[in-house]
Amino acid sequence: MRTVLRLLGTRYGAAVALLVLIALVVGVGKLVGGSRPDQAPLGSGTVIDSPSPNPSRLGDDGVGEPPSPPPPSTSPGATDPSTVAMDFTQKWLHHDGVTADQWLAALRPYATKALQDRLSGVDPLTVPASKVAGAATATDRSQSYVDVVIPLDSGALTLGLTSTDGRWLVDSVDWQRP
Amino acid sequence: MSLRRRIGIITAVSVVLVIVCCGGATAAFFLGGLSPNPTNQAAAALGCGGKTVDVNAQLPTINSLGDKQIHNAAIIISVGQQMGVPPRGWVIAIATALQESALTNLPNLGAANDHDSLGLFQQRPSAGWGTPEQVMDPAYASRKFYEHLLAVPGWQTMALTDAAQRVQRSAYPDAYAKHEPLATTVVNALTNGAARAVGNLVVARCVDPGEISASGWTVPVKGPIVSGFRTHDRPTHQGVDIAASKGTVIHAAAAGVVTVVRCQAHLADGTNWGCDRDGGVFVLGCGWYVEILHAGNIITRYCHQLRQPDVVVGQRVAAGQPIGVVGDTGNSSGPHCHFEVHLGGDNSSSGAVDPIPFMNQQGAPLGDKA
Repeated sequence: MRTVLRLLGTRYGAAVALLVLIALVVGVGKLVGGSRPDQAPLGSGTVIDSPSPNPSRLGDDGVGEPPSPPPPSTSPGATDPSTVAMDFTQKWLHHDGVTADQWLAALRPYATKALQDRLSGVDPLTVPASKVAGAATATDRSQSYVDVVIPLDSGALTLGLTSTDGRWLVDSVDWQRP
Repeated sequence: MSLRRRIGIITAVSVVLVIVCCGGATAAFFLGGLSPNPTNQAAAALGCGGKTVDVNAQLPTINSLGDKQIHNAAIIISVGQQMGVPPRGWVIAIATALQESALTNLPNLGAANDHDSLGLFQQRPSAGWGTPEQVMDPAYASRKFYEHLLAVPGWQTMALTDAAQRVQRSAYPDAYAKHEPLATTVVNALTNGAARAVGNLVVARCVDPGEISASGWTVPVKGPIVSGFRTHDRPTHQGVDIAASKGTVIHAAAAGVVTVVRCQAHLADGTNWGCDRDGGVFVLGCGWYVEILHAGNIITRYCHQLRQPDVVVGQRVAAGQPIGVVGDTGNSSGPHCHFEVHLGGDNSSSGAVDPIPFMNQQGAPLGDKA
């Protein structure tokens, strides 16, 4: 014991004693203070209670069973989405012996401005199919958004169509190998 | 040897031993409360990259991909790492190669092909991509892809398919989107989770709210989760409730197309309540809400918005784009965002999954203090 006390009088001893003291203070503080619930790692999936608001008193505050999307709406005299999709596809497939400008010009009447922009600079030589191989299938996503799948000789084309004021235009072009 | 000296040596050895054996745990114990962000601990537990790909090492198996496809993916990522391309670029490159070649180094397809596209990215020698031998070299083809990608202004924040299309100039500009989930899985498997890191940073780091992960996902609303998915008390609760003050901006969790913008608020007897005023526990429905259809047929839903959302049906949104603000419309007893994730393009309750593990996997963990 006397050796220990003598050591505390030295510089090194004092340094070690101070370190032990700091560790004790911080450590005891952490242990006594514990971890407050609001420090739980929320992102890891822990669900905490919060005094306000407390939606957990509710049942299902979501949609419940969502209503079926309203049927796509086409203005009188305008073309329905499946027909617009098929017309677009025929122009899209016609890629032999046409320039990039001619190919894009043929697609313009059926494409949104956003799609026209994404198709600018495309070499029609890269169109990976030559003919339609089956009937179009439409999936209604909402009153103004429809997906149409068209089977081709080398895969399937999926067109996304949107309507503005009941007039349908192709807005997206996806192609998939069989 | 003097006693003092002997004690000095013993102390020094003990300190070294403590640091070596349990330095991390000791430091974590004393510094734990100083962590600036508890939410990205969840992503950190899954890994946020930092692993350099060795194309010659034993590679993991990934879903239904074959060894050659995984080897080609490793080359694509490795070239990206050598060039200092941030991880969002690796995800875009893998998704592009999945579309163009199914990650297979395709030779000339002969009569079946009416143009001269070759290799992983179907690059055309006649369009200036290189000699046929060069574009058939996976490392060369990858380098050319990244050079073109880095030259596209703002590629880091574009929808994946838009960035890919700016490089590929294909006749199917939206075809790359559907490969984003598998490309994310591939990058995560080969790099210890780099698709969960901040997408536009070269040095791998987990994502904070407001940042977009390399997989293309971000936290829609920053705030504590006050009610979980299908809990014991609320077995039909098909999402999570994120508490936030009225007017807090809600962000699109990923790029996609808006498929629903609607007010749903009525009383038990069917009387319309409307969304131009706060709801309450006696009101049923989601209030003002938005649904977004993302790549891979994933749907997200954002309920109880304060006013008519800022987006319209059919609108394309980017990851992180503001879509509306937090409110209290519909079946709500205080301002919060009820957030749902659905898989398989199924927006009914049977398509709903727990958003917490889903968002952790995407590198955009929900939660955090408001």
